[in-house]
Amino acid sequence: MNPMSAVVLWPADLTDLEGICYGWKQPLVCVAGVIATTDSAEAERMVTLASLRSEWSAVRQMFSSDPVVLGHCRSRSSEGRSLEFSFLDDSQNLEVGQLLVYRRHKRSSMRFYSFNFSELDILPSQESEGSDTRNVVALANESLAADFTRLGSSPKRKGAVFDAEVLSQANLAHLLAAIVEKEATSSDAPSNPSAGAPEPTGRGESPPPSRTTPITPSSSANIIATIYGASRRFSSTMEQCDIRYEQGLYVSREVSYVYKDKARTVHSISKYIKFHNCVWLVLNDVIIGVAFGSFLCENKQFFAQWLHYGLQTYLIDGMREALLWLNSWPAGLKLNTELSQFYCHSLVGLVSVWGWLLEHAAPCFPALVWLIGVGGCCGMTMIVSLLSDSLGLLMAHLYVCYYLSATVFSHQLGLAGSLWNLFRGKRYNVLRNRIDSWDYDMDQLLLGTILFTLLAFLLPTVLTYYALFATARLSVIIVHAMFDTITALLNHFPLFALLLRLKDPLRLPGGVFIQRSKTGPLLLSSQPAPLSSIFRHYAHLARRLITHYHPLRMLRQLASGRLLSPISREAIRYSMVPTEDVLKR
Amino acid sequence: MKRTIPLQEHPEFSIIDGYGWREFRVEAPGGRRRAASRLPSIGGLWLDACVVSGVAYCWKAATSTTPGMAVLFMVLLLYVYTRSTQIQWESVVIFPSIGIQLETHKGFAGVSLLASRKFVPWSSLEDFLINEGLRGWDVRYYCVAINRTLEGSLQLEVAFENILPRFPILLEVYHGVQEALQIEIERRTEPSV
Repeated sequence: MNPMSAVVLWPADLTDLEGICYGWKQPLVCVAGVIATTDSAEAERMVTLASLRSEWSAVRQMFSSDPVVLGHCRSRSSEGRSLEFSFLDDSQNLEVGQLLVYRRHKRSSMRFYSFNFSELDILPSQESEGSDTRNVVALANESLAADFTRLGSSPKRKGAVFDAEVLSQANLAHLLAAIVEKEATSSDAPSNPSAGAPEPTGRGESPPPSRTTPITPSSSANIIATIYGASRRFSSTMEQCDIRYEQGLYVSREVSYVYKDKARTVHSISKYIKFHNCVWLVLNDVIIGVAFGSFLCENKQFFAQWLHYGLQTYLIDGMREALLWLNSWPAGLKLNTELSQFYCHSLVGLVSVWGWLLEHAAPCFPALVWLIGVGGCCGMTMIVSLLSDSLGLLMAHLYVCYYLSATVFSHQLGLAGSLWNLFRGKRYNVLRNRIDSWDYDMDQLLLGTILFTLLAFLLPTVLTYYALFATARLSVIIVHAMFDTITALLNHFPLFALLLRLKDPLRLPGGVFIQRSKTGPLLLSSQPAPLSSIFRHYAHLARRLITHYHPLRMLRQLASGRLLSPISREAIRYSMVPTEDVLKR
Repeated sequence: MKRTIPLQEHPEFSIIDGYGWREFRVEAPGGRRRAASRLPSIGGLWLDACVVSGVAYCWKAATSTTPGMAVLFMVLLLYVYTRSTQIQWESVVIFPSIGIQLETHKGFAGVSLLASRKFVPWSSLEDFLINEGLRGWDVRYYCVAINRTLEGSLQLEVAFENILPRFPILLEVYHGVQEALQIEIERRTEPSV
């Protein structure tokens, strides 16, 4: 028989009564309730019948032992809460060692105790998270195991200790007490299978939906799926539509489960919170979107004119003037005349063609603004992604010019690199992927010198044109980054969890702690989750964004002629649906 | 409740024994100079007096305009907030048979207004250590409780995180917790009563 623990958990609302108390003996003595009778046989019968009920058997698997009758007890609230206890099988009077008072929360209030916030799985998850911490933990475990000065290693973990099972007992004590009281008041035959809706067995009731559309054998569906996937990468509107589709699917799947759920375990509470978070978020989004969209629709003429004016002045005429300025000795720099003329004329031609296109599309601008405003019915995020996409389309000429000048620049840099190797007498070995010394022939060296002359005279010109378009592209990328960030923030805001923390912090537990009082008993209290853990996924998102848009990284990319690109959509996409990683844990 | 000061040259460290718990308390430096005094220190009071007279001086000028009033209000709020959330004491509380708890108490003049606590039950406490922290040329020792979370990863909880007392105090706390851990392990592994 395991030694009886000296700590007794006592419900806070039971004072000044006498009777037979029942609860659990393992791992700690936890009193779930008191039956006001002195007949111990009767009490045992009631407790055994209660533990056979279907509502109890639904949650029975969380515990390692059944509830039993503990003994006769009497509590007096005067003289500082003294408690007399006597255990039935030992029949010895045991003065309670340490009293730990806890609150029995009703299941319908959805309050519970928990050791840390991650038990409540309500944050959106990504597919690629948490793989880097596993190595660190393995190392730490090994160093702990190798420490010979440690007292008490793991094997004797089970025993009379305060662990997660004790918290489950505290969470479900009210349920047990309610069942026992029902037994006491009625003497019907128990264990009717239809009493109460038992929790569906197992944790993974419904399989997680796949993110992409299902692949059917027909080839046309394949083609559509690939086109859909490709369009999601290029257009943020399609991505937003995909997010909405996924949210709609999630809500329609979960609504029946959430509203018929009677058994409030931690798993079902987290589903409840996630479901309501999704619904509230979408509704809020739609409200803000409709307000902003109607503002856009009403002032579409003004916005269309402003857009037209802005595009013409800054992006068409401004670019043209900048190119012409570069052509004619910018800031006193004497660039190569022929190359500069070629660049200038071709790019000015490109920009002018685009300007001509925009002139002819100008009457459609009000309709475009109206369309963006109408998209507000699907939410503010849809407006932001439509804006982002249309801006990307309207500035396509900048992208083309940037692409051309960046390609030329990167090729010239490559040429410079290999010429550098040539003059040092080295060569890049493609087979071995390294630099080897090499003996060049005279004509190779001569050709290299000629090429070097060409490079030295042409590179400054190429560099200046590249610099112009690179700065333009950088500002466009920054605008896109802002739009993407706003979308990601709006899409995954933990609104429900935040409001829940304000309204009823006990429903969002982030830990337990023990409050000491001046006399006698200790009080087990629940700590609400800290704000940093509610916004944990935002910290992750911020880290991703900063890594991608770090100024030094951008500068390095610019200097080496690599193409700047906005962050890929998968990196900032979170999903309400638990992914396979999370399910495997 | 019994209160002892085990180290003579560190009077800010005291051990308080209560019914079912044992607290190792370290008070923030610059708090009470004399152990028996209950008044706030004179330095703090002078600062408050200066601030009050400064506010009274520019009250007329500031409250005439709305932004001025808003700025004054914000400044006063900030001042009250910083003055009332100064660290008063930090402690490590040992509950035999339950676990240990790391507490930080913030308040004003020896009275604790806010308390933040971190509870580590014996079942998830892997070890309680003194670690050597290096920051540049600075070496600072700190007590840390290694907590195993439900997912299986390890988390370090630093005791006396804001005060970071010196080594003799940490040694006392370390011995106290290790003794309690030893008693707990013996209780858990002893044969039936």
